[in-house]
Amino acid sequence: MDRDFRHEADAVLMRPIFERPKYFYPLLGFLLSVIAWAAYCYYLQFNLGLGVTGMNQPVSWGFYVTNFVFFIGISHAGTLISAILRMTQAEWRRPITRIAEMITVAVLGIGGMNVLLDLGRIDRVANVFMYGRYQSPLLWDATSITAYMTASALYLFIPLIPDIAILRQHATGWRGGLYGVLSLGWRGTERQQKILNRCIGFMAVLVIPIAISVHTVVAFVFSMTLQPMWHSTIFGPYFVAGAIFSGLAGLIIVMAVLRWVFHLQDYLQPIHFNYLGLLLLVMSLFWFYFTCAEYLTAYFGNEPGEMRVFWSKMTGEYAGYFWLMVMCNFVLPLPLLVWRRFRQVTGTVIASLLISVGMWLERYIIIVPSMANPRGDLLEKGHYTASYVEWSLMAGCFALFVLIYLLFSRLFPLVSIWEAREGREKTLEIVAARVERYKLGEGRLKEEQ
Amino acid sequence: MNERQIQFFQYLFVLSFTLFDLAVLSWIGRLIYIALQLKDTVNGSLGIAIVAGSLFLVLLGVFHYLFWGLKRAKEQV
Repeated sequence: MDRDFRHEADAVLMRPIFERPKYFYPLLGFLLSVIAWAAYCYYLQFNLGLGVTGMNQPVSWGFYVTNFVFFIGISHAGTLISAILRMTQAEWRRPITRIAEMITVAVLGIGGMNVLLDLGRIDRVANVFMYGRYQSPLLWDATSITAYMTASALYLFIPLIPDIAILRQHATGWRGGLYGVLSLGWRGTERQQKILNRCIGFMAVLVIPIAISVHTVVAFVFSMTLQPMWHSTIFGPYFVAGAIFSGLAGLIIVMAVLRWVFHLQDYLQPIHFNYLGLLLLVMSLFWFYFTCAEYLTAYFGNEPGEMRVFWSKMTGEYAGYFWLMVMCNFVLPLPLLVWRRFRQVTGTVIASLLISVGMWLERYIIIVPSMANPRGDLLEKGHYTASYVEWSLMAGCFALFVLIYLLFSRLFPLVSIWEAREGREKTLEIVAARVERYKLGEGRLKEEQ
Repeated sequence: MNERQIQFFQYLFVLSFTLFDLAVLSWIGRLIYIALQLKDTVNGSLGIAIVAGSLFLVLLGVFHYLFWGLKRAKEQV
């Protein structure tokens, strides 16, 4: 029996850990069923080969690679956004950093897994480790994703330590042991706090270039080839901007769900959605600018191989996906994010849902039309329609994400308790001291004194 | 779980992270070895390996600094 936690100031954050929610087992059962079905579909694919998917020649990359790029993109929600907000000392970051960091760790694994799903012979994956060559951008990807995963896990773990120590006071049995081990002897002394803050600050600086390099390298997997409309210098920054864009959208959706499920209205307030909505608006404009630059350059070049892909997206087979992407990523979210009236919880969540669909479509229409229209007149045009196996595995990936989040919520607080406390106790003092440092026109007076 | 068991698992935790990090570093080392053997983009491979290897060493350093730092600061109380 766990010791009573209800008298704690932030009891609502500990409730999902110490009191099993009513929906826990039904939801767990549902998620496991979806994952089991996906596992069965993968078993079919493993036994019968990639013929059970919609992939063929020349379209050898489909849903799996789309999902890989999409999930790696979402991972930027966490570490990058959390690190930027920490570094800029944005006080409103406190309730959202952990949610964001956890998204990163969960989706990075799922994204990486999609590459394995795409392999016809998964038993040969060991060859990457045994005989890999850095000549291939795929190896750059493997290295940078491993680094990002390690750094993100560490960046999630370090700020968790004081919270684990708080939980240790209330937990008994196996939980007590687990928290005892993971709290690393935390007692909250001044010296310990100093070490912790130093590590958090250092990691916040370190993960930003890692996060940017990861999605740049993901873009290099495409742009280092000579496939039409892939061989572009803008792909690195275009992918990074898209990743932050989709990451922000993913973060807003997860925040809204957690706010509703765990009654976190006092922590995740409309102002957080308002600020994130503004960031989303900026990224939507960036995305539109990059898309225009990318497509206008290709159009003006008028290279026959590229034009086949270009027109297939504008008016051809993929036009529906392309224009739906433009609607979802730019046209529809814009009014929701520009007017403050709509930039509330509901408005930002609707915009984020649209953007998530739009960004998935963006990944899809970057990959499939270029593969379906290979360079050279001798090669035949290809077609691609995803099979139920690919749809099922995609559903399995989303179910796995929810499952990981559900299990995490049963073990650790989704909002940082110590940071919330620190915010309540010290925010005004910290902000006042900061403002004091750059009060306009007073620097000269201070110097004279 | 008593204090000794907790400490044992904490050392196991830090050892696991260290072994993981060293495994990645040895993998990077092997890729360099292959590049040298095949004379296959040796300079590029070395460049990537230096960046990636240093990063993993830094991550290992941060984790050890945190672990031993918190431990020492606890004992100072």
